[in-house]
Parts: sequence; C-alpha cells; structure tokens
Amino acid sequence: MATKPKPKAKAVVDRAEALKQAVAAIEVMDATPEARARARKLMTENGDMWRASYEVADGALVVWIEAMQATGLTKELYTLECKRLKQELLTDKDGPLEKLLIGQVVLAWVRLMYIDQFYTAVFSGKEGVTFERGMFWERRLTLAQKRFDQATVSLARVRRLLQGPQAPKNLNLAIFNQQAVSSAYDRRR
Amino acid sequence: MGWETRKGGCYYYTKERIGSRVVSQYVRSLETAVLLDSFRKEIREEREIERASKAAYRAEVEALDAMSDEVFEMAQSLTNLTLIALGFHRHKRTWRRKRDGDETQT
Repeated sequence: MATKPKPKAKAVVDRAEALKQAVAAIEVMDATPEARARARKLMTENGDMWRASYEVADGALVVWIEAMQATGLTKELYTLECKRLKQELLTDKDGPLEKLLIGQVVLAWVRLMYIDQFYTAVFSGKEGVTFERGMFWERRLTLAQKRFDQATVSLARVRRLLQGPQAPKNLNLAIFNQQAVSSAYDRRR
Repeated sequence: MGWETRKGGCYYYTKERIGSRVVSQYVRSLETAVLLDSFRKEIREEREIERASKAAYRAEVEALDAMSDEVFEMAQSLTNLTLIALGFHRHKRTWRRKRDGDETQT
C-alpha cells in the first residue's frame, strides 16, 4: 500500500535527490585526472553543497523524531541526545565530510531505535503476530541494523583515509545507548 | 455467522470451529440474536479499522525508510565525489591514494 509522502519527508527526498543528481551528472567514478578536475570544479562552484547536505540530513532526523509515537518530552530528549551524539563523535581533525558522515551515523541510530521499539512491541504483544507482519518488522530491523553498521564503517574508513594513521582506529560506540543498540542486535539471535 | 434463511424463516446462527469441523449453533431468542448480530458487526468493524491503520502505519514506516535510504545514498555520492577530488581512486572495492609512490588503502 503506497501512501502520499508527508511534505517534510518529500522535501528531504527531493533535496537529497537533487544533490545526488548533481554529483551523478559529472561522472567522476572513473577517477581520471579530468574526472578529478570536474569533481573539484563542482565542489568549488557549489560552495553551499555541504550546508545543503547537512540540512537534508538534519531534516531527515527531524522527520524520524516527529514520526515517533511518543510524548513531546521524549521527542525533545531524542533531539538533545542526537545533538550530544554528534558532539561526542566529532573530533578536532574532522572536516565537512566527516561531519556529514557523523550526521548519517546519528540518523541511522535514530532509525534503529525507532524500528527496534516497534519490533519489540509487535513481538511481545499478547495478541501474537502474523507471519506476514512478523516478516515486515524483521526486514525493517535488519535493514536498520545494516544501515547503522554501514554508517559507522563509512565514518571510520573516511577518517582513516583523510586523517592517516593518526585517525582513531575504532569508533567509540560506547557513547550510544549501548544497551539499546546491543539489545536490538541480540533480540533476533 | 449471521442470519440464515431456512425453510422460509430467518434464523440466527453462530459458527464455531471444533477441531477440523465448523459447527453451527442456533440462537433461539430473537432479542439475543439481534444483540449478538450488532455486537459481532461492531467487532468486525473495529478489526477492519485496526487492519487499515496497521497498513497505513506500515506504509508510513516504509516511506520513512525510503527517505533515509535516499539521504544515505546522497551522503555516499558526496563521499565518493570528495574522495575523487582529493585524489583517491577505487581499486577492487577499496579506496587508495598514490602518495610519493606509497599507497594508502582501506
């Protein structure tokens, strides 16, 4: 069943799509000197590219938090927690790309928490769960976990590439609500 | 389950599954039958509403997931663009940079 996307979510998708298109249009993946020059040109000419990408990521975060079936206070706490996580993940050596990837890690974490909350509610409900419904939430949780893993690996990898051997080897995942993250993983084993 | 016409008359029957068989049970009193019928209708309507809201909710979660995927893909594109601009290239699915004959890789 397809529903009309909410205006805020649609705005986020449109802006993300536009940025993606702009990057795809210059075809840089062959990494030739010309492609490198095209990439540099695009980045110089679009100085607000980073700002736009932060806005897209922040917009997505707001949409997820607003969609939560929780009180205003809980939503506010989630917003503050996201801010804290971003600050804790940021190091002095991080540039704009790392900052964007930190936003992705936090977004993936919120998504994982949200899906895990419903997964737990569905599977611990007294009325039981149908196979189809169970599969739906199982798939959603798997995807959310995969995205969280990918986001953390991306950040660690980019740091290692851009900051060299001095970059922290591991991401300090202890700053996340570790219990919640590990229970989301353990619950399905 | 519900009103059934038998031998020209209208009678109310409830259906119950016992093992592999479905057993019909006649509801004798008319008042009870009417009450039971409206009660069952209400339950059915409630279930319909619940089913519809669950479907709508699932669709919303799918839309949120799609939005996130779009944002992740955007971040991935920007990461690739930046790394290429900084002189990296991909070799066998790993990023490398040639630096004074030395190769950094992850």
